[in-house]
Amino acid sequence: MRGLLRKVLGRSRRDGGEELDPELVGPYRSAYLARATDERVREAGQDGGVTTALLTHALEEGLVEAAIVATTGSDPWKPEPTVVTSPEELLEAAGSKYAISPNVSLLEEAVSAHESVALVGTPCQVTAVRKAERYAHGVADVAERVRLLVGIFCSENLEYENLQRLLREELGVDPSRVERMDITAGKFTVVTEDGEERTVPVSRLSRYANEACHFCADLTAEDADVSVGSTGAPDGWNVVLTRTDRGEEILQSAVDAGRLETREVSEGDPKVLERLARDKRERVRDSRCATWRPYHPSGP
Amino acid sequence: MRVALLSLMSCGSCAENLELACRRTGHELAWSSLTDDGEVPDVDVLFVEGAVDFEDAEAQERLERAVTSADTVVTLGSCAATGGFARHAIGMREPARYHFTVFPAAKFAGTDYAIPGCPPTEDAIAAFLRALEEGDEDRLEPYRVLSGDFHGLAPDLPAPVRGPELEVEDVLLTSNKDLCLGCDLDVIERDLFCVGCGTCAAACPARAIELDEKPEVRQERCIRCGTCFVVCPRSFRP
Ligand SMILES: Cc1cc2nc3c(=O)[nH]c(=O)nc-3n(C[C@H](O)[C@H](O)[C@H](O)COP(=O)(O)OP(=O)(O)OC[C@H]3O[C@@H](n4cnc5c(N)ncnc54)[C@H](O)[C@@H]3O)c2cc1C
Ligand code: SF4
Ligand code: SF4
Ligand code: SF4
Repeated sequence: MRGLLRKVLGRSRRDGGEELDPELVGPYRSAYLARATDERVREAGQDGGVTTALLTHALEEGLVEAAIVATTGSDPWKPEPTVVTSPEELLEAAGSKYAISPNVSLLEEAVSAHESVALVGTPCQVTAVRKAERYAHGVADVAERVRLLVGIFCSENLEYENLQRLLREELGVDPSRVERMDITAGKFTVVTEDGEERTVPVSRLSRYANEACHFCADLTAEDADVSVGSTGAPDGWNVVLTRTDRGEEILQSAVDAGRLETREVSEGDPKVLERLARDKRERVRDSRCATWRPYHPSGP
Repeated sequence: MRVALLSLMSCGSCAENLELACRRTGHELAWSSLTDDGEVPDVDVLFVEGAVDFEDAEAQERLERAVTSADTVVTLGSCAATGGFARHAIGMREPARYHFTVFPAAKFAGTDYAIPGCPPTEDAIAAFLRALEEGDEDRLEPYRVLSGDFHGLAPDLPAPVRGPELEVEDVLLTSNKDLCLGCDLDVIERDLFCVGCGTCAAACPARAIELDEKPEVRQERCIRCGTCFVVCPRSFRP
């Protein structure tokens, strides 16, 4: 079925000489390092701001009328799924929040109010939308109206309560005092409002992670049109994988319009990304859950 | 295509939408158990609507005979395909009886495709008819998957009903003991599988699902259609 999906979506493997092993990061068309050219977007964005820049481009070019993103609600660092229609709102929603944001819950609302929408989500959310496209019993018109699926890389996510616990217990900081949060180079880093930096190794996160994430093999959003992450990219840049014709087109047109600049993936550290992707696949194989695999023949 | 409809334990809404969809797509509804007597004539497609009580031998025989008269057999609606209202709201209503006497029709006969939904919309049925007529394997695939014996649930009356109230976990979502794809480990809780994507809430036709991070089903609104389960990325992989 996954094979079928790929065929339908016009995915193709590149022959030989890949920068990244498609066995590990999933089939892709092209891989880049990229960042937004607009400094405001880079500033607001988590890494290179590519996600926000791509969505801005899609909105301004009229490719989509609206985008489903995770903005910040009233609680500090608690994401809130939102349908946005302007670049300003996109800027507000930029930046990663390390807590569950059920973005797909707005799918029905978004596709019934708009002719064309984009959705940003974690790999599992992207898969959910692909499934909704094919199993059209629940939400109608997903296949016609979702024009762009941007997947952000994801190692694990946390329930909000556990994010708060993690911050307090492991980092000794109150969520409201955190200015910036990031997962890079095997570390979870927070910067407090007075500029102090605190870190814990990512391995400490798994105790706080959502249980379901222990049974997830997808680091790089293999079902997306475009996948965006930071692992393997230099500071302030993103690794970007295009996986469908549609994804490749929009990336190219954003580059042509001068919204994105790109470099070769090999200028970053592709091995680090491959290692993390492999680790995530192995993690599932090692997990104790006996029920997950038989029903997921394509999984590891 | 010549189409027939066998209506079993059900409310009849699926049949109504089938009739509309046939008219729209230009297929002849040659026979319907709701208006015609006797046996099903030879047809291209037989739609079966509704559930069957395990204790009702007559209905089972009727179904068994009916499926032999069509090239393609399709379960129509959640009651026939996955359980639905007939199973969960009628079959499990009486606490003194065993939990599992009313089953989706799909449990009693070999079927080719399933169209869940409570009821499936006219559009959904029309889309299926088009795919079937064109022999579009790719578009038919989800219906084929859904007609499979997901959970290998054999009608051997496993657990007695504990009380008049059903636990959410027993009915819905990823640890649905009925719709669940065979997960019989009690230790597996809903939370273990749920990634908090929100797809179930978007898809629920009754708006019975509320969620902050993980779904909560408002039982008083839930129509047991199983749509949440079908769309959940963690129930089975597309
Ligand atoms: C929980 C989590 C874990 C991650 N783990 C990794 C990792 O291990 N390795 C890695 O390379 N990258 C990881 N990322 C992705 C990384 O943080 C960046 O989102 C990604 O590199 C894109 O950068 P950007 O500059 O383009 O983002 P931006 O331009 O800032 O855009 C980010 C987009 O993501 C959306 N978003 C933010 N938080 C969430 C959320 N919780 N759920 C859904 N959507 C959200 C925002 O609405 C925004 O549109 C993770 C992200 C999250 C949310
Ligand atoms: S680790 Fe997997 S299941 Fe968990 S949030 Fe990320 S993509 Fe979803
Ligand atoms: S919660 Fe909603 S989608 Fe799920 S079975 Fe009930 S009515 Fe159907
Ligand atoms: S659809 Fe998503 S939110 Fe709903 S039960 Fe499944 S994983 Fe959880």
